[in-house]
Formats: sequence, C-alpha cells, structure tokens
Amino acid sequence: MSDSSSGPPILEARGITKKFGGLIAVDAVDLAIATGSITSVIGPNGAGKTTFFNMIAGIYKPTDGTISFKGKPIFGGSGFGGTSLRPDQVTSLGIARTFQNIRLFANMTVIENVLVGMHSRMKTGALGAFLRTRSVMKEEREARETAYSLLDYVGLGRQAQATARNLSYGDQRRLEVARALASGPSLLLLDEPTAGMNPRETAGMTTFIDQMRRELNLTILLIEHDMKVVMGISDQVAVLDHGTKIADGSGAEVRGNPQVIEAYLGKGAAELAKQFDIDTVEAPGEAPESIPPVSPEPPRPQVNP
Amino acid sequence: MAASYATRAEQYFEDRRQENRKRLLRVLIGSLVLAIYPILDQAFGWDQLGQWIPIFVFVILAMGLNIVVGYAGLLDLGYVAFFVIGAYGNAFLTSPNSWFVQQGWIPNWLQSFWPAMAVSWILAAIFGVILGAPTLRLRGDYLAIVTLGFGEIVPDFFTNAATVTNGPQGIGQIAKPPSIPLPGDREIAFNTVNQANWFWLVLAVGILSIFMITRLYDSRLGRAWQAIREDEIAAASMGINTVSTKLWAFALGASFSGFAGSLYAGYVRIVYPDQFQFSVSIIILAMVILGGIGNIYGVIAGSLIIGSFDRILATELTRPLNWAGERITWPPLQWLGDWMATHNVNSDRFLIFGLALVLIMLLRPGGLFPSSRRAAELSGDDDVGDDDDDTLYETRTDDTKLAGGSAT
Repeated sequence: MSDSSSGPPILEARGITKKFGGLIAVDAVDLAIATGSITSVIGPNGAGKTTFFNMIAGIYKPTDGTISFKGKPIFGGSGFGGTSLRPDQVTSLGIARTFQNIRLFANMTVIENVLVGMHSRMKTGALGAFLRTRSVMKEEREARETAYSLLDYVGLGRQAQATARNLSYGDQRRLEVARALASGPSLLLLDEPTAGMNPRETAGMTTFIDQMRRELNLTILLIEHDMKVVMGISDQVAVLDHGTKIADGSGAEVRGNPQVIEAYLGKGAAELAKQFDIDTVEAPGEAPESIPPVSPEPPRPQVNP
Repeated sequence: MAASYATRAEQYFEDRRQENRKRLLRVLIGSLVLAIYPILDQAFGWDQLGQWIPIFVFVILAMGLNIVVGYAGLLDLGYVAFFVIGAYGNAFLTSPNSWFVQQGWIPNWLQSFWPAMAVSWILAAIFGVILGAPTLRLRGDYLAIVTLGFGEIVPDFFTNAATVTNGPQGIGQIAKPPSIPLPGDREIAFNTVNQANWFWLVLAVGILSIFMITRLYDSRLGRAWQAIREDEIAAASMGINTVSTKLWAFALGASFSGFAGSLYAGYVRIVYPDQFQFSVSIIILAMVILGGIGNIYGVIAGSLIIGSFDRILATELTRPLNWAGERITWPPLQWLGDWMATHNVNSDRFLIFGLALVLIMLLRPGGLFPSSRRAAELSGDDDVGDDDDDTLYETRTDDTKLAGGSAT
C-alpha cells in the first residue's frame, strides 16, 4: 500500500456488488482512494471496470454495498431509508467523469460543451433566462471566463467556437477532460483516457493526467488498459477480474502478483514468467515490458456519426 | 493567449449584443411589413385578414412545440392537448355559459380576457408537467406514442365531460379583450369587425414569444436542453437534472400553447372539441419540421408557409384551376378539363402537405432553414486553426491535423 497513509480516503467503496439478472458484473469490491492520489483500476475486458465506474458516478445503482465520498454517502442501500444519488447529484458533490467512448455534445460548440459542464455551478432558471437580470449576466460572463481558461488549460483555447464533432480525435478527448473539469471536481474519473491513441498521444495524456493532479489538487481514478500509463503514474493499482478484486497495491506489487499475470495471460503464465525471468521489476519510471498490452486497442469511437 | 479571459468573454457578449441588434432589426422590419398588411387588405378588398389571424396563432403554437421537439428533442405528437387546455381555460373562466361561472366560483375580476389568458397560460404549463411526468422514462418512439395518446384523450375528455364542457356543442360567448380607449372618443376595440386590431394584437403576442424563446434558448436552461437532446447520459453526468430539465421543456412548451389557445378562443369566441383534432398536432409538427427543427426563424417560416397554404392558397388556387379546366376543349384531354373545372384544391391539402414533407426530408433533412448550429458548421470560423503552438502537449498525428484543418 503506497499512498494509503497520506490522508483519509476521499472515496470509499465497501462490498459493492452489481448483478444484471443472473450475471454478477461486480462482486463485493472494496476500494479506498487516498486524497490526492492517482488510482488505477485495471483488468481484462469484461472484468467489470466500467460497471464499477458507473456505480460511483450514479448511473448504475449497486445491488449491494456502500459508496461514500468525503464521508457523505453516494450509495447506501436502495430500499427505504437508503441513499442513492442521481448522476447529477454525484456531480454536484464534486465527482466528474469522462467516457470510454467519447460522449461529447457533438453539435454544440466547444465552449458550449464546457458551459454545460458548469451547469451544476450555475443557478439561472427559466425566469432568469427571460429577464436577464444583472446577476444572471454576471454569472454567464464568469462562466465564460472560466470556460475559456479551462479550454486554454487543455490546449483548445483557439477552437472555442468550433463544433465539437469537427475536432480531431485527440482534441475531443481533451475537450471531454475540460468539460469534466468545468464542474469543479475534487475527484476525476477517467474511463480509458488513452483509448484509441497512438503511443505519442498516450505519453502526452499520461503526463497531462499527472500534471492535472498536481496543479488542480485533484484525486484521480483511472480505468486503463495500457500498462505503461498505469505503472508510470499510479500510486495505487486495483485489479479486477470477473467482477472481483484480485489485487490492490502499488504498481510493483500488483505486477508481481501471480493471480494478476494469470488473469491477463491465462493459466500457467505465472509459471512461465518465472521460468523466463521476465517479471523482474525494472528501474522506476521505466515502462515494464513483462505484461504486454492486454487487448487490442478498441476501434476509434466516433461521436454520433 | 494574448487576450485575457475576461476580455474574451466580454468580446463574446459584445458580439452577441450586435448580433441580437441585427436580429431585432430584422424582426422589426419583418413585423412592420406584416403590420401594414391589414391596411393593404382593406384598401384592396382582399378580405383575408380572418385567415391570417389563425395562421399567426399557429405560428405561436409551432414556436412552443419547437421548444419541446427542437430544443429538448422530445417528440411530442399530442401537442394539441395543451392548445385545448388553453382554449377551454379561457372559456371556463370568462364565458357566462361556463359551468364554473354559473356555480359562482370565478371571481368577477377573473372573468375578463387578460387575467383569464394569464391563468390559462399557467394552467397549460401545469398540465405540461402533469402529462410530461409519466413520459420521462420514455425515449423516442415510446414517448411519441404516449404523447399521441394524451393528444387523443384530452379532446375526448372535453367531449364527454358534458356537464362541465357542454359536450360537442362547446362553450360560446368567450370574453374578448377589453377595448383600449384612446383620446378623442376613439378606441381600439376587439370585436369581430375589428379584424385589423386582432391582427396586430396577435402579431404583438407573436413577437413577444419570439423574444422570450430566443432568450430561453441562449441560457443555462437552453444549453441543458440541447445537451439532453445530444446525449442524455453525458448530460446527467455533467450535473444536469434530466427530470426537471425535461419537465421545464414540457411546461414552457405547453405554456406557449396555452397562450395561443386562450388567444384563439378569444378570437373565435367559441370552443368545441372538433376544433382540436389529431390533425392539428400533426400540422404543427409538420410546420416545425418543414421550417427547420430547432431554428425558431425557420419554424416561423415553415408555419407561415403551411398556414398560408392551408387557409388561403388552397382556396385561391381553385379558381385558376377551374378557369384553366374550362378552357380545355381539345377532345382527347376532355377528361382532364372536366376534372380541372370542378376540382377543389382544398381537398388536396393533406396530399400536398405529405408530398412536401417527403420532398423536404429527402432534399433538405434539416428543414428549409436548418438551425444556425449547422449553418455555422458549414460556413466555418476563422478562430479555428490548425496552429497548436500553445497546446500543453504536442501529440498529434497527421490525420488529427487533417481533421483539425478541415474544421476551418
């Protein structure tokens, strides 16, 4: 456990389970995320990573378990007396997310996408929209200022008026990050932020994630396929397989875990790895070659064609 | 980035102000042109004013439906329900034949046109929420089917609740707007003979509606509607309460319908359920789609085109057709001449609407005047460049550069 001592957990999930009919997508997973850390959730395809994410974001209701954020419950039982926040309520608590398959508002402009991200920080209702009072205009102006600064931060300052669907793939990913940052989160959930990127773009995104964490005082929870990304920047790595957590710890700890190697490479792989001595821990910062990329890169998603 | 963010935000608002000024000028010129129409109409004896007033009511209806369908993307096939509620709301409150008035439940001050209109406005909005609430979990086709049901149920209710609504005979003697006294013993009256005054009144209400709807569109709520239309899950994850945002769309869309219904009831002074058939919902939807879904000016154009065809042109085209038919005397074409001489174009209205819709959908899927969003996409923007010197990390492949360039 590398960073778990650095502060109280900002997010704590206990025994969360999600069943879809007879299928148990996530089975009694515990996860505590330290404030200010970068935590990665990895696992083979279909391991339940995105389901786990969606439960934190409020899109799915867990079948069982509890999730709390900064001591406040996000989910605490679905029956009478339980808490179960909607996605928008989760967002206003300070959790923002991006999507694995980019889900921008494709026909809106870049800046409008960011302004929608600021929705929970603004107040204007229907009456305010009709009347356009001084306070409404002030709010709009400040929102735009913040939006421009966020776009500059992710490097899209010049494309504020472009339509989101016309952005290049990498820019669309960056716009998703800007839109998520717009809600002023303290926890950022990134669902495969480097999916479909080439190695150079991936390296850039990895650096950028670490930079955001430092400059914006964020805690980051990451789902990732790419081991280089995960090992390079994570303080904590949790491995899911078939819905259960099979390992949790620092990158080095997880990498040497025979169960993890087995989950990725199949039975007997751990033995094989030992035999060929390819699981030696390399110099810190160096990308490990022992675990190859697990699955082929998903096809580049298109924003609503 | 040279310009500070505050300056850039200020620049945006300055641009918007200028654009709004231009738009306001255009709307004013357009309204002025329309406003002199009654004078021409009376001078030349065209006698079409009585047709234009309902057309304008339909323009207001189409603008309201555009909020629900165009902005929030909720396909509503029962929009006529709110038109009924607005019209009957006015009738219940102001007609001496109304059951509510006869019970003595309506205070006197409420039994006149303007207060009744305000009440019907709010009433329609409330019913927008009531009818909208059960549909919130539905999407696309399913939503359309349920709203279709509401559009059938509500007029049926007014037919069958005969004690209160007087059944198919309807309610007459609805209040008209009180006359506005002018200096020198003159007044602006709203009797049946004062068609021109009605024309201007409805025009004014229409302009007010344009003003309110454009403000609504360019606001936090308007952006939330568009976000929901584009991607509901992403919108919810960005902090938008999808339930209340959709209900606002239903309520505000319905409120304009209530507005229009109340005005219409005051104009025709009698309401009965047959005025509000299912085809009314469809015609309003056709106006929105033909004009350009999501673009209020396109919707206005669409409703003027369909409305004027429906009420004026179809009748006016019959005469030249008959005239031409009588001139065909060549025997092999005699059958055509006979047909043309007796044919009434009015009976083809729905055929022509249908054809027009099919053609528009094939040739211009965005409508005659697509929303500015698409126009902006096509015309390009100088701000969008492929110059990325100041990006945080330079990780672009050749193909992303190409895509970035094509955005200009």
